[in-house]
Amino acid sequence: MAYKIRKLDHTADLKVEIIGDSQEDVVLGSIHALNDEMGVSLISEDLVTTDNKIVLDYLYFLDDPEGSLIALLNEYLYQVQEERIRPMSFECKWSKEILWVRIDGIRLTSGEPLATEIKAVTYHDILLERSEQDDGKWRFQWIVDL
Amino acid sequence: MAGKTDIKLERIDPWRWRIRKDTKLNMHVEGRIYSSPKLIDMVRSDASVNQVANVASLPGIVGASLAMPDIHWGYGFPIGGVAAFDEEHGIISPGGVGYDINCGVSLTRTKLSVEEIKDKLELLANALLSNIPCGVGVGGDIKLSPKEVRKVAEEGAHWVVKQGYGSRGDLEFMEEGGCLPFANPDFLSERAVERGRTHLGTLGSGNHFVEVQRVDEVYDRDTADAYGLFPGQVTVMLHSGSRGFGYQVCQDALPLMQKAVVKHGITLVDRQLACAPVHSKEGQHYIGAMGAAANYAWANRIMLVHRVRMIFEQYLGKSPEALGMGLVYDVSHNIAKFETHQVKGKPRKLCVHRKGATRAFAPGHREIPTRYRTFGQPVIIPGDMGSASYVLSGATGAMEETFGSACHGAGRVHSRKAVMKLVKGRDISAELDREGILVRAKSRRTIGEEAPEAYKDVEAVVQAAEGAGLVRKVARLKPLAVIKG
Repeated sequence: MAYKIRKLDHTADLKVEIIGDSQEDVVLGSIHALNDEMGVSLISEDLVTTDNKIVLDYLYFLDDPEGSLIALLNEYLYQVQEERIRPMSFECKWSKEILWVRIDGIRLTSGEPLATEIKAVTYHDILLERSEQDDGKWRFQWIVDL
Repeated sequence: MAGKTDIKLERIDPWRWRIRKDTKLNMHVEGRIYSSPKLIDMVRSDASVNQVANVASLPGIVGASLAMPDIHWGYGFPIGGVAAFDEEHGIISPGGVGYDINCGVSLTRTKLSVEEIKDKLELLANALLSNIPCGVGVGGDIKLSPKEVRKVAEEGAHWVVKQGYGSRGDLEFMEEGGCLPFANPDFLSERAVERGRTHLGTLGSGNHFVEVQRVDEVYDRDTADAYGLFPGQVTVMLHSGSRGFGYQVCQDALPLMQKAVVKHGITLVDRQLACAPVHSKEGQHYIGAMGAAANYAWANRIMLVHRVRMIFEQYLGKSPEALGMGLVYDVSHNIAKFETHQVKGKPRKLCVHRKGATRAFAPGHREIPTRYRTFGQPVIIPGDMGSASYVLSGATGAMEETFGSACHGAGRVHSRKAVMKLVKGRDISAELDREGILVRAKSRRTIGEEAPEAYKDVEAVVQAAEGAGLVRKVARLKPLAVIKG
């Protein structure tokens, strides 16, 4: 897994650019960028038991890759901000037609404040491409509404 | 700054700039930006001008794609954007409303002078922070049943007044009386309803606030009298919206709109502008759900006003009635509504989108409360926490040029990231405290991100709106205590 997160200026909100070796990398990099903005750290394996473990599986058909990624990131925001899910680990597979993501974690029973509320990941200025500027790596760019 | 515009702006006069209709191939109307020589370079420095041009390409747009003097870069529509679409042949776009549906501002007057609360201001500020649920992800102390959420969505502020929060008299002083009749709870997702259960009566975080203020200057005594404002008076301003309920309504709508665009053969230059014809199935679905979220926001703000009144009662030992805590007005600045405006001398029913823009109806409009009708609708403009806010009144120019709209605030000039760099190492609370402004917040980061430097000069924004004839200045309010999430 190799990705780089760049946070760019956007007057009202926040623009994020993920550069990764593969599509999986930019997906996981995007999730980690959201975690970073919200102040969410990965929880330790020691805190996870068979009783409290939550496994979330997501499957998207990639007829609209950018749209599917936005849907995934917004779903993740919902799980963290509303359902109080705190992640332990992520898995991701990107085939020609399907994106599959698994989130392992727990649900907090009491409130743990987040650093920032993110209303949504928007479709504005969204871009997923192989970037010549970045030696042919994958670049995924999106803007959040804060 | 990233995203500087490549579009040429034509100066019409000191308050108006034009983007010619032939600037981009797909523009149906021209773009018009209300600004001033002082502000226009800031407008050129980001991509908001391109966004004004993009909105001009949406089907059925009438008149011009407009931007108010607090324009800045948003996502899809610019913040400060106003666009009206023909009700029959035009579209509705969730991107023209935003995620925080019916985010807005209310202003409550009191009979109190600053002298009367000076000694209790700190107590009041602390009590407001601890008794008003605020901060990131903080839910309220009220948990509604799904049935109750649907009632709030249908009845708006009326529902909470029936439950004993706020008063019947408040409703007259809320835009649309605090309830949009076209709201349809049947179009809400289960997830939206679930999010609505715990967010009522919560302030939120970021730029949402409660501010205790004093009336610093009155510019128009007759209008100020009608609004119940006088120099030295204590007022309370509140900024919040539909919280997670509204975000979810927008989230639910956007994927459907992406499909609607294909179905109805609409060409978009920005996917966040996804839209559907007003009368299409998708359009009607969003309109019903958006109306429900707007109603939730009005209910939320009146419940917050109620909490403020209770805190004042507790700490000042007098009832809200005895303290004269009536609502001056409650305005929305993220909404789409159906309004009739004169277009080329004829009345036309339009779907007016205001994204970071305030309704500003001129004197005589029948939707203005009787008490204010001769003077125009109150337009409430919050500034940054270190300077001032304004009460304006809607003017004839707004009816003639901007579908009865004006600015909504100072408008950001620096991103949150940029402003955090600017204020690094500084104690903003202490700086404001030295200027006699108490700041209380759940998060130090919020104080940094919302530092006065983050915003344009509100005075310049108001001057531009007044110069263009959209509004008249009524009063300036200075902050005494600011409460943020």
